[in-house]
Amino acid sequence: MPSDFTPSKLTPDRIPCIVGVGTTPFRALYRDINPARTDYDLALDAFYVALADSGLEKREIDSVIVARLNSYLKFCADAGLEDVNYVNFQSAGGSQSGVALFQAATLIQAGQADVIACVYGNSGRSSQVSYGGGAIPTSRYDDPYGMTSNGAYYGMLFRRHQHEFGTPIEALAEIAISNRANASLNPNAIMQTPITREDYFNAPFIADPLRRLDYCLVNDGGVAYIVTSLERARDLKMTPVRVLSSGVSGVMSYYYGSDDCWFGALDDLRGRLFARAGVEPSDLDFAQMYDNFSTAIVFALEGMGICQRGEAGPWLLDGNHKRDGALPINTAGGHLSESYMQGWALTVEAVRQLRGEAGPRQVKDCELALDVTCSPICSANILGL
Amino acid sequence: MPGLLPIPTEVDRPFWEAGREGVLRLQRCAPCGHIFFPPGRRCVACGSPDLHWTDMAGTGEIWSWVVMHKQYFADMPTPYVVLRVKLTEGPYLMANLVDAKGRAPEIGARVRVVFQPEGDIVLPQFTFA
Repeated sequence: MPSDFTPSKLTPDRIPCIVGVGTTPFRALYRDINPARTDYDLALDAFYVALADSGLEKREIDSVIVARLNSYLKFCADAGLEDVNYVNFQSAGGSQSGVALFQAATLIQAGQADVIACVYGNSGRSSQVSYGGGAIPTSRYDDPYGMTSNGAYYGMLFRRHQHEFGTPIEALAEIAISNRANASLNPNAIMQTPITREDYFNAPFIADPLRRLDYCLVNDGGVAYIVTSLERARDLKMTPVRVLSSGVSGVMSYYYGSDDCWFGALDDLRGRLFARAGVEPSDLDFAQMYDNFSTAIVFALEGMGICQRGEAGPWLLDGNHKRDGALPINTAGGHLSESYMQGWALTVEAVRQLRGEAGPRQVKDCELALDVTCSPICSANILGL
Repeated sequence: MPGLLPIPTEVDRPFWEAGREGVLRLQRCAPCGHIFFPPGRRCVACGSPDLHWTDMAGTGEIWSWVVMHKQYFADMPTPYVVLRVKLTEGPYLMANLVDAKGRAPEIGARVRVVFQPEGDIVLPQFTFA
């Protein structure tokens, strides 16, 4: 069964809307390592920013989705949210940020919740967390060969993509360069100094074909947003950002990846997603694309039908993804330059752009955005005014 | 040069013990014939628990590969090549490329299994066929 919903069939009152967003100071946190800092501290900071932004009273929150916080009980107790109805936890492994929004939007649409707080906290830099390993079902059989990192799996997929389609490595350089250029306009980004192709190719290999600048920046931080119905949102001070369409599509493979670079899963999702929002990829004003590694953007571009299969390389070399290009991507700098928040900050940036609050990096006159994650659970949300 | 070595379990001990005999042996489902890896208690295709450890040809081709430059294990100096090999029978296995005699890996290149003792384990590796 297709796992998404059709806002057009809903009473307009039940259209899900993001009405408040919050983030922590990523740049400051990157420079202030503190092993005593916890995921909960960071999530709570972001939650109160999002709550204030929404203009809602805390007592109006009836549901909570937490990511990366092992105990939703502790978070809710810390936040004084004792009387909520629905609570759920997601591990955030497998980049499930878009799934959190999918879940929240579905609950609102079904009338099962009225105000949902979605919160994420990650003290990964201070606690020196290592990603990969146990999340991969074949770890036990891959570790003896020194094959332990998610980046190496993505590197293998990208080399396969190169083999099948001739995708140039320079396409990845152009992603890193563009993300950094966007981050240079974002005072909260960790890395703000623009980079060149020379910088990209001078950076050391981590898992050849991938170099250091293809990798995300593991950091401490929190992100939160509040989802409610359009009915409730109408009375709030902020312009509601509507979730026009939301969907997920999984590839449950042993090898933390998909032999077709997730094309099949994303293509299946794309058809439903755009049809239900009543828009085309060419209608999008900008896109937020999950970039744990630069390669994920190559895969998402093709799977979302923004370019033909195998054409992401030339599309990127033409600069279509840049701020002044046909479809600006990762306008705040993404995971490669702003901060790795496992997709959560990408969603918040989409909201800020649509509300016209992005300052010097504002995309002009934008009203339609795609937020897409290419990972074992592919997810995509179309957001609009 | 091993990374992290596993301790064999009830489920996968036959896989590791076959290595001592110089054989690559995977589970084959008796009812449906599906061959799969990693080892499990039931066939991933049909769910049958009726699985038979079966000798593989030990051949395959390079599906993709990376060169690891970041050191994760003290005993494993970089750079080293990791292959994802597609076996002739279908399943994938990771391995290092050994005894390459200066030849660079390439997708589609034919490879064959060789076995290397590492600690208490005999590890399947691949070399050019």
